[in-house]
Amino acid sequence: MIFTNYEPVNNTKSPAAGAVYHIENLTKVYGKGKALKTAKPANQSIDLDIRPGEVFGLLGSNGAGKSTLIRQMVNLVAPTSGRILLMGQDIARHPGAVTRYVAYMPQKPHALLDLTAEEAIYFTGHMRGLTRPAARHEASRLVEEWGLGDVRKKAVRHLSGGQHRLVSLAATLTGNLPVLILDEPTNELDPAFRKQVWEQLVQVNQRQGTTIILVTHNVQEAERVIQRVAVMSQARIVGLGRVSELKAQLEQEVSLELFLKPDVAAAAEIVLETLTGARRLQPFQWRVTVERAGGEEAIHRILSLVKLERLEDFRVHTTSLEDVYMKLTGHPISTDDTGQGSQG
Amino acid sequence: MLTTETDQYRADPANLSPLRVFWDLLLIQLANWRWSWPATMINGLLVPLTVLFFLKAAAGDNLASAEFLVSGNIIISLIFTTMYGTSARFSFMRTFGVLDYYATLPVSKILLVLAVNTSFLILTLPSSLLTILIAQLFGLQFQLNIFFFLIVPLASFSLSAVGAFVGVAAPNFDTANTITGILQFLFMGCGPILIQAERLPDFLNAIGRLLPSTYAADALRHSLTANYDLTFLMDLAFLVIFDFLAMLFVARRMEWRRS
Repeated sequence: MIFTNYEPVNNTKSPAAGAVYHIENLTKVYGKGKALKTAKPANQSIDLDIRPGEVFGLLGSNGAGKSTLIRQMVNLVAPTSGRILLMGQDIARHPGAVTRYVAYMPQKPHALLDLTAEEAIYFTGHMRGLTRPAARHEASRLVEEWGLGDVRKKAVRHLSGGQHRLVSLAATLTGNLPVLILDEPTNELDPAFRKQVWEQLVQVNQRQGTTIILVTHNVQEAERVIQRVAVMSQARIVGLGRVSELKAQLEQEVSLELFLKPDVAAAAEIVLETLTGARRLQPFQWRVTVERAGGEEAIHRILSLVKLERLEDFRVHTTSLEDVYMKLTGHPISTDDTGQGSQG
Repeated sequence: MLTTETDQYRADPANLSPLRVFWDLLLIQLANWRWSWPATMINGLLVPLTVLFFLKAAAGDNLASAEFLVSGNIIISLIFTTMYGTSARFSFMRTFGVLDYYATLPVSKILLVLAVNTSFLILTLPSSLLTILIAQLFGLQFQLNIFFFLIVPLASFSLSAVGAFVGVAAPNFDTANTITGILQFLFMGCGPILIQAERLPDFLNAIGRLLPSTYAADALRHSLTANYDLTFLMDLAFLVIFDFLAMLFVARRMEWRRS
């Protein structure tokens, strides 16, 4: 198979020249004493380099180890073994490097709930070292840029979930730190807000050369902005590279997605279960992957076997990042990666 | 080193003055009170006055001397506002990841503890003064001097440090609440806070000797009656040392970077 001989693009033991982050043989096991010996690792033997100015995606299901990895990258969790260099500095020895270079937005940003939207951004900027006028200017600019003008004087706790997340994103961006780490930045956002977030992040990356590290479940949308990606499963990185490179390895294949009519689904499923490359995504939804060469003929054959009258709909689609993810992990990104260390 | 266009307006986070960081943290804490200060202040005043009322009703004039009632009221007010408040605040910050926010900023945890405790002091100071005022309205004359403004902060810091410790050490919000509730009664009932030592069982007096509330109440009584003897100085010394050690202890126990 394509990925069985996977070799990370950057899997070197010495820091890549100019890497923003160089992560070396990183492992985290939660627990103490006896529990430590029996606990499953939350992440294991992670080697990774993040390059300056790139938008890097960290994909994985719940429990895959993404959050633990980024919490280690911002020094909130100490690794059990391994080391992390930020701008060439070991963050265990130089914890100040994180506060100097990295702006981090956690998955559940509950800080500053009682401040107004504008104050939350202002105080974050000022505590990051901006002068008072610069922090005020930044707060005002970000409020406008993120469409928060109408709620600038409202307490964050009284905002909707989406507005709250936008305030947190704006606060994360204040001070223009060179590295942004965003844990699920589009959670709780409706499609319009999500689109806004992705557009703004692209702008920030292009305008300021900010390195952006994104953790997300939303593979389809993130694909538009992510340049390089690491796929995590079962506490390890199972795929790493440019999105285009990873997709290219799958483009010898075409997928046929089938939506079955519930009342006749059973008959169709009997047929589908016999087909190589067929996989049930969710009830009444299947995907069949076929070789691109001869794909047209194969698709016709599958449709005639399943029978069109048993289908609500069907789609043929080419490789997406989600396909890459599925190929690497063996399951869609929405399912749980069970059996992993806690807090992942 | 990477630089950005804002760098010219940004001081090196490593060189930020502690005073500047403390001031920001304090303002954030004070901003939090905008929405809830009346309830907290009423709580700070109402609880001790209610306790006093019931004690007076039960024991009449035999209960205690006037300075016991007033100083006890102030200490109980501090127990109910600062100890409970800091416990709830730190427990919330820990449970909901707020501490993570501060930990990724150039902020030291001792400054955060200091800012939270100071904000509770600022909130409780008016009710302490109001207690004196009410006492004066009832014809009780006390000395409101510089020591009062030294003892109330020392007492407030000692009690908020205990609350903060519970908040950062308890495994969850509910447990922190329960522990603080128990401690509130322990601090209130052990030692001569509202009732003279000679009227308390020995074991309560013995426990009270370990608690900062006992020394704070005693120092306050000395201050209100302008009786500055060796005991008063020892009370102050105990509170200063307790505050210093407790603050360090809380900061050490708090989950922070790489913990």
